[in-house]
Amino acid sequence: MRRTILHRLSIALVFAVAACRGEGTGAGGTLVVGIPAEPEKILPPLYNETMARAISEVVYDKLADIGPELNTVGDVGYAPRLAQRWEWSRDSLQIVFHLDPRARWHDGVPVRAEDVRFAWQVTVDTAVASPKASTLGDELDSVTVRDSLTAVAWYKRRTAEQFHQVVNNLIPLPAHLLAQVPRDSLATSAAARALVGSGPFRVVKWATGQSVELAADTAHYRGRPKLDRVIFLIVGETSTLLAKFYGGELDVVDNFPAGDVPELRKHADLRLTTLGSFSYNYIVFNLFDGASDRPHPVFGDRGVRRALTMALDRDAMVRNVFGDVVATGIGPLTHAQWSYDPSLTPIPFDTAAARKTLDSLGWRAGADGVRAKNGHKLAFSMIVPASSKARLQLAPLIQAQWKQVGAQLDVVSQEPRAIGPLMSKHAFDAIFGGLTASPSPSGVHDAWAVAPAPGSAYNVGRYVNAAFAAQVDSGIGATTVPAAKTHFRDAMRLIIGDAPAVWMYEPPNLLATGTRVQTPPLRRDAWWANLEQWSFAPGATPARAPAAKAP
Amino acid sequence: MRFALRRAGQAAIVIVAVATLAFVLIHLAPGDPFPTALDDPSLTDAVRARLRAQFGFDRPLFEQYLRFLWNYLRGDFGWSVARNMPVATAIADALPRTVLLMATGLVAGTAGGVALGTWQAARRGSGAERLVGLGAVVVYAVPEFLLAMGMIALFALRLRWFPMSGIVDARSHDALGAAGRAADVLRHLALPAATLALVVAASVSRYHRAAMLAVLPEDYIRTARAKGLSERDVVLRHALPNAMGAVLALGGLLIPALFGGAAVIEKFFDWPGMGRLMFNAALGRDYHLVVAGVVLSGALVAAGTAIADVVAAAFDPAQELDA
Repeated sequence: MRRTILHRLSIALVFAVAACRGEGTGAGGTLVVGIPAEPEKILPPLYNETMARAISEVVYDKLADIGPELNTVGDVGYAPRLAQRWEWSRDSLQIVFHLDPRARWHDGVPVRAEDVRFAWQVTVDTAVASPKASTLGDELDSVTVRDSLTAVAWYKRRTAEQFHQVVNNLIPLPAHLLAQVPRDSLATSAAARALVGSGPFRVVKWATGQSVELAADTAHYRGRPKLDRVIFLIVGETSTLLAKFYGGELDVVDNFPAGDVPELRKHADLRLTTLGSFSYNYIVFNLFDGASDRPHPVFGDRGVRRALTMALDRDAMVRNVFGDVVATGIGPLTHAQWSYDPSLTPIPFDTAAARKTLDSLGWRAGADGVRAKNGHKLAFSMIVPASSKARLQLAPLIQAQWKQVGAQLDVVSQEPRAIGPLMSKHAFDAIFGGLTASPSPSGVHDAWAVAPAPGSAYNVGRYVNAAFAAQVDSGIGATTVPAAKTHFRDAMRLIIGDAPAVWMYEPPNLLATGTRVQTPPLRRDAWWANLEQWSFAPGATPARAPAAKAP
Repeated sequence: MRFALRRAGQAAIVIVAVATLAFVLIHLAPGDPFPTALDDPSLTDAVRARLRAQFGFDRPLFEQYLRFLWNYLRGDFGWSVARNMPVATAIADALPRTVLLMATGLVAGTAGGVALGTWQAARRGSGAERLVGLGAVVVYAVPEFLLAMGMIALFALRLRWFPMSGIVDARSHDALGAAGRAADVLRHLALPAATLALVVAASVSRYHRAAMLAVLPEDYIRTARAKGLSERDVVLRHALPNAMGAVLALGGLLIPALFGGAAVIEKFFDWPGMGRLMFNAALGRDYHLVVAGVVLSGALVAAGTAIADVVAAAFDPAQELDA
């Protein structure tokens, strides 16, 4: 019995010493990140959600990584990762990537050029159904292997972002482990969960429904990460997630709810970092009558759309719901993207001007206060996803302000899964939607400049403006940032003026951390980008273990 | 025996009917596992079509139904799209956790409820009994999520006696020995199981009190008292065993009820069991997982009611004749 007690005490002592060494000196330690849902797929060609991307990007190194300026034109600012260096051909249709000979997969096998070619083959294979396939397939013709450490990317075309699109979507995969897996069952294979990457952290445990645990790759070719472990802890209930964070059980909460910022600011040991927002939420108008080619009786008229935009005090509404951490939307490009131009001005809030515009367009107020024209009321519905607390909060405010100018809004809350089919069939008047973009402004092309493909969720309101599309194309094709910015600015002016949507707000990208956590400057699009440089402050109190106090 | 076999046959029909209904309803619900995403439309229609084809969701509904029946006969429950693993694996992961939670809650709650109901019956009409009865009604009336929130606020946040959620401490669990790991799970089990136990105890105590009050005026109880037995012996040795039939029957019905009730508890305590699994599966239109969960739940309901009927019949053979 005494031996057992002594044995237990010695174990406890070892743990205590380890804890002090880990979190008290700035080296080692376990970082616990609270995430709201389990990532479905982490393997690079397969992931399609933010947290899966976060885990994937610290487990799998890219060929090169975007710099802190988030410039997506050319290769300026890109930091070498698996590729030590790269060379462009004279005609810019080839890029030769020279791999770092020190790079190893987590099982010790060297990373080779064949892994780059294999990743290309896997990603564009339709059997794999990779979300990256179309982007990569549009850019690249093929990838060849010059020697074991040299891979050559052969482009189909020259574009300003051709480097960005390839290094962002072509993430080397361990061919020695995955080549034998049938492509059509890659996503469902054991290999899709037994991840072997090349990044600074390796997956050591994926406990279904509980956590994904990473450990530092102590022999990593870019140096040993400062942290020992990173645990992505799945806490599905937001109130529990926040309680755990305030209680000290979590070190990091990504996508911190803006509504809880006042509470967070009461805690001196917690810190809030506002990262760049690369998404925007907007009320998209259906410009046509359902799926027909007839103009929508209300939104088919540009003047009505402008008047309805004018009637909304978006700044006040956004402040009311989010406080001071959220930016009002400007258009289908966000303030954080390099293409943003501060000279852009939104349609101003002016209720009187909105009324005047509607009067001039022949919309007369009836006895019930609702305007009508040619027997058609200025009445329409707006679908709001039931999962979005913020949008549900904003909807009645919008309803009240539109009522002020004689427009009647019917708010319809729908489960997100049920909205997709309605969007695909254009069976809606308006949707309070959202769109996730990236540092690259080129996404605006698919989202607004072209007619929607069948079943697509892009441009569901079917906005068409040839001048806008031309400016977007010119912006994407421009080879210098200033030239591209000019084109994107002119495009934005056109679409803001046409008001095919009301650009409501840019959802904040808020990262909450304990002050004991030391971070390098965080990249605005991906806080995890330099996770290997994160550490705990010297002498910092370790994160409180759950139930530290015995009953 | 014939009665038990007849009930088993009825249970099998119920399970098939429930499975069919679940299959049809989940496919009729708008959206599918690969919908046009509202906020992230980057998954192209071609990719979605490919994924639908990969899992057979593009086939006519009747064909999918026949395939579903055939697969179930072969013991293949399909693939969970959201979990990216076989449905059987997802359920095998989650079910033992729910069983642990339910069993703890059910046993503790039933024991507590029986003790409380017995005590209430023995002290019928006293002020203390009325107060306890009122407390049981209040607990029974409070929604489970409120009860869960209260437990978290008091025991996890204020007193810091127990962890507020999860099943293990991810930081330290793997470094612990076998005993330490078990203790870790038990600490995490305490609050959700106690919440469930409270709900069960509140319900059981009311049933059991009524059963005891029905038994206590019986002749054999009067005889026991006349023999000079203490009131304690009369209640515990004579009245209690005869009043237990109702509680045992209720226990059979509580199993499926807990399966649903545990979903709320699991959600609030982030207990990675069947309730949370099914909740997320339904939201994500994870067809195979939803149907498998409903079949399992249906089987539990059928088994629970069958057990309850058989137990009740064992205590009262007249019920068997009526059935």
